[in-house]
Amino acid sequence: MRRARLRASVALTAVAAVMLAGCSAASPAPSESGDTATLTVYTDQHAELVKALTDAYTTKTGVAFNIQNDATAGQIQAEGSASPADVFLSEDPGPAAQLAAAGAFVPLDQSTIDQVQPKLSDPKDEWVAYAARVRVLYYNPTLIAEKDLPTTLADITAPQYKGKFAWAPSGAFVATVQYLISTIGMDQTRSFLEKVKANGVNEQSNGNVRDTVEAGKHAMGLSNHYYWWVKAAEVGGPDHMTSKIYHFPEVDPGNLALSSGAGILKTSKHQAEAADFLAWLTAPDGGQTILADGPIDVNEGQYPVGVGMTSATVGSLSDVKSPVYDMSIFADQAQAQQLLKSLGMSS
Amino acid sequence: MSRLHGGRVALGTAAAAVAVLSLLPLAYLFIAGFSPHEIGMLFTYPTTIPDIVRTVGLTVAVCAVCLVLGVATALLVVRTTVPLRRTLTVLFALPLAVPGFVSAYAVYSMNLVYAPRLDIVTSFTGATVVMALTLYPYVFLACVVAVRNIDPAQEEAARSLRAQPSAVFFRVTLPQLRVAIAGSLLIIALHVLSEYGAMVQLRQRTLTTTIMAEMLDYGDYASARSLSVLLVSLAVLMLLAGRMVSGRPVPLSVGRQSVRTPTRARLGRARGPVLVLALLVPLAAIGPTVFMTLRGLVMTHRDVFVDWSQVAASGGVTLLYGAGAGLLATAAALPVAWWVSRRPSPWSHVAERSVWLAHAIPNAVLALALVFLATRLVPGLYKTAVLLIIAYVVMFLPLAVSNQQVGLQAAFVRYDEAAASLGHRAWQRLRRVSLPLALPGIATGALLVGLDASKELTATLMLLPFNTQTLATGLWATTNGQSLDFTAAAPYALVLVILGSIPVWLIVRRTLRHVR
Repeated sequence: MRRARLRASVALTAVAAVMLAGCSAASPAPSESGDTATLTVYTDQHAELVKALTDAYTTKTGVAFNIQNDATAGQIQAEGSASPADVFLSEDPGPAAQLAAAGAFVPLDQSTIDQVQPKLSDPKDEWVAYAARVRVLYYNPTLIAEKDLPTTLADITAPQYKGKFAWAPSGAFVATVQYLISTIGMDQTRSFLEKVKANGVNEQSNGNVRDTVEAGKHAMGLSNHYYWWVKAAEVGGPDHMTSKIYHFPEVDPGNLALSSGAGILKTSKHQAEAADFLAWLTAPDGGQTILADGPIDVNEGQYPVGVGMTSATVGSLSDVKSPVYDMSIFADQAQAQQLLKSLGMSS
Repeated sequence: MSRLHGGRVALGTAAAAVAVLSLLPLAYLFIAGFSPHEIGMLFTYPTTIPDIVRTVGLTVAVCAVCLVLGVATALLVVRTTVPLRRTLTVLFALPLAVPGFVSAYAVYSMNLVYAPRLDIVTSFTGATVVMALTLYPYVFLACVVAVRNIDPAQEEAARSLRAQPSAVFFRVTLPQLRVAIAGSLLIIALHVLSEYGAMVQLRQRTLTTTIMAEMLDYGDYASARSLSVLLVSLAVLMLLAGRMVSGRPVPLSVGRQSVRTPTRARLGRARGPVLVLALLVPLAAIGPTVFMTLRGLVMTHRDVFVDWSQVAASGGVTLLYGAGAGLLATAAALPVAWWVSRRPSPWSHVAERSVWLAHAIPNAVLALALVFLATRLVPGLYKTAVLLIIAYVVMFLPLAVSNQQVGLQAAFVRYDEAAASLGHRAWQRLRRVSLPLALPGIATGALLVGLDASKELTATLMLLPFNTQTLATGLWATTNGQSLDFTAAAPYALVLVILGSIPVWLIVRRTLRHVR
C-alpha cells in the first residue's frame, strides 16, 4: 500500500517533468542559421488569409514561418528590442501607421512600393499596402428598397432612417471618423456623430451589423464589405444571402478604402529575407494572385492592391468610389478616439 | 524541533515567493506606467461611470443569482427526497464544462437565428442569467459538501426550540455555509470582473471590455493600464467583501466521521414537478450550447471544410497545457494553502489574498505584463509552452489555493498530533495522515485549474507558441468573420465540451458520495 502510493507520486512527478520538457521541445525554435531563414510574422489580419499567403511563399521558396495571430502593436512594443517579429501584417491601416510613427519599421524598397496602386501605402514608404477593404452600407431588401437608400453617408442621419440602421464603433469606424475630422473638421464631424448616435443602433461589431441586417433586425448597416462575402461563402454563395451590399454612387466617405499594411521591424534579424517576402506579397504574380483569384474562404473577398489587379469575387478596387487620401492620417487617431469617447460612442 | 522549525520557515518562504510571483504582473502596471491624469480624463467621458456601475451591477447580480441557484440545487440533492439525485448532481455541475464565451456565443446565435428582432440575451438581465448559469456550479459544488458536513444536531436543537423552518434555515443552516459560499462567490465575482469574450457577445460594456477595446481597437495602452488600475481597485474591494462574508469560521462539527446522515425533506407528491423544475436549470445552462453545436454539425448548406485532424491536434495541445497548469498550480499553491490553514497570521493571509489579485485583472493585461517581463527576464521562455503554463498558474492559482484549504481543513491538525504522539515523523505523518485526507481538495483544485486553463482565450492568443492552437483559440479563429449561426465553431465547441466534461466528472464523482 505504502509502496503503491510512493510509486504513484514518483510517476506523477515524472509525468510532470516529461510534460514540461515536451512542451518546451514542442515549440519550434526560430532557426538562426542554416540555408533558409524562418520568418516570424505578427498579424491581426484574418488567419486563413495569412496562412494561405505564407504557405504559398513556403512552397515557392522554402522559407518557413512562425505566425503570431491576433497580434497587436502593443505586444511588439512590450517585447521591445527582444521582439521575435520580422514582419507585421496589419488588417487596418491604423496599427501599421502607428508602428511606423513609433519608428518601428525600416524603409521599404521602392520597387516593392511601386508594385502597388498609388496612395494606398505609407507616404514615407515604411509600410506597403498588400490588401484593402472598403466601407459599405448593407441593406435588407425585404425592409428597404435600393432606390430608398441614402445617396451619401451624410444622409444616413436623415429623419426617414431614424432607428433603421446599425453601426459599430470598430477600428474602421474610428478610421472613418479620423478621415472626416481631417476633411470636414471637428465641429461638423461631431454633429454628424451626434445624429448617428441618436438615429442609429450600436451593434458593437461589424460582424454583428452584418448578422443583424441579414437577419432582418435592421434595414441597413454600416460595415466593411468583406464580412458579407465571408457569410456568403459560408451559406453557399451570394444567392443564398438576403441582404445586399450597397456602394454610395459618388465619391464618398461611406466608400472609404482602408489598406492592410505590411512593414519590416527594425529589430528583425532577417531584413533581406523579409524584404524578399514583401516584394513577393505585393507582386502581381505573387501574393496578389491569392487575393485576386484565391478561394473566397481564404481571401474573404478582400481587394488585391497590385497595379491593374482585379478580384474575381468583388471586382476592382478602382470601381469603388473611395476618396483618395493620405493613409498616414491614421498614425495618430487620438482626435477621433477622443471625440468618440466624449460622445459615449467608443467600443 | 529545529528541523521542524526549518521546514516551517522553508514553507513560509516558498509561500511568500509564490505570492510575490503572482503579484509581479501587477507591478507591470506601475513599471510601464499609468497616470492619475489619465484616470481623471476617464471620468470626463460619459461612459466611464455607467461602465463602472454596470460592471459592479453585473458582478453583484450574477453572484446573487449564483447564490440562490447554487444553494437551492445543493439543498435539493442533499436534503430532499427528489428522485434521480445522482443524475441531478452531475447535471447541476456540468455547466462548468462549457466556457463562458462559448455559452454566450451559442445563446446569442440562437437568439439571432430564431428571434432576430428581439434582444433577449443582450440585455443586462439576459447577460446576468447567461453568466450565472455558467458560474453557479462553483457554489453548488462547494455547498453540497458543506451542507453534507453540517451536524444535524444543531438544526434538531433549533427545531426542538420551536423555531420556524425558515428561521432554522437562515439562522442555523445558512451561517454554516458561509465559508463555502464566500469562497465560491469570490471566484465568481472575479470571473465576472475579468470576463471578456462572453461580455462582448452579450453586448455588455464592462471595464474589462473597455480595456480590451483600448488595446485592440485603439492601441491606447496607457489608457488600458489606467482602466486596469480602476479594475484592480474594484477587485480589492471584492476581496475585502469576501472576508466579510466568510466571517469567522463557524464550528461545523466534531469531525467528519461524526456527522450523521441528515433527515431529508419529504417532497411527497411534489417530487415530479420539483424534478422537472430542477431539470430546467441545467437545460437552460447547457441546452443552447449543445443544441447549437449539434445544429452546426448537421447543417448541410455549408461548403466550409472541417479539418477534424486539426481539431483533434488542438484537443491534444489543450489537454497537455491544462494538465501542465493543473500540476504546476498544485505545487505552487501547496505552501500558500498550508501556511494559511496551519499557521494563520496576518502575513499568511496577505500571501493568500495576493494570489487572488492576479485573478482579477483582464487576462490580456496579465498576458501583456508577462510579455513585458519575460522578454526582459527570461527571453528563452518567451513563446514556449512553459511561459503559457506559468501564465495559467498565475491566473488560476486561487482555485488551487482555495480548494486545498478546504482539503487541509478536512485533515484536522489533531489527527496529525495523534500520529505524532504515536511516534511518527513529520514526513511520515504528512504522507500517511494529512495528505490522504487533504487529497480530495487538492485534486479538485488541480482539476479546476486544468479546466479553466483549457478554456482560457485572451492570454493564450498572446502567449501561445508559434504555429500551435488550442481548442479555445481554434474556436475563436472561426468567429473571425463573426459567424451568424455557429456552424464553423461547432466542431471545436463539441471537443471543448467533451474535454471539459472529464474534469467535471472527476470532481462530481467525489461529490456524489455526499448525495447518496
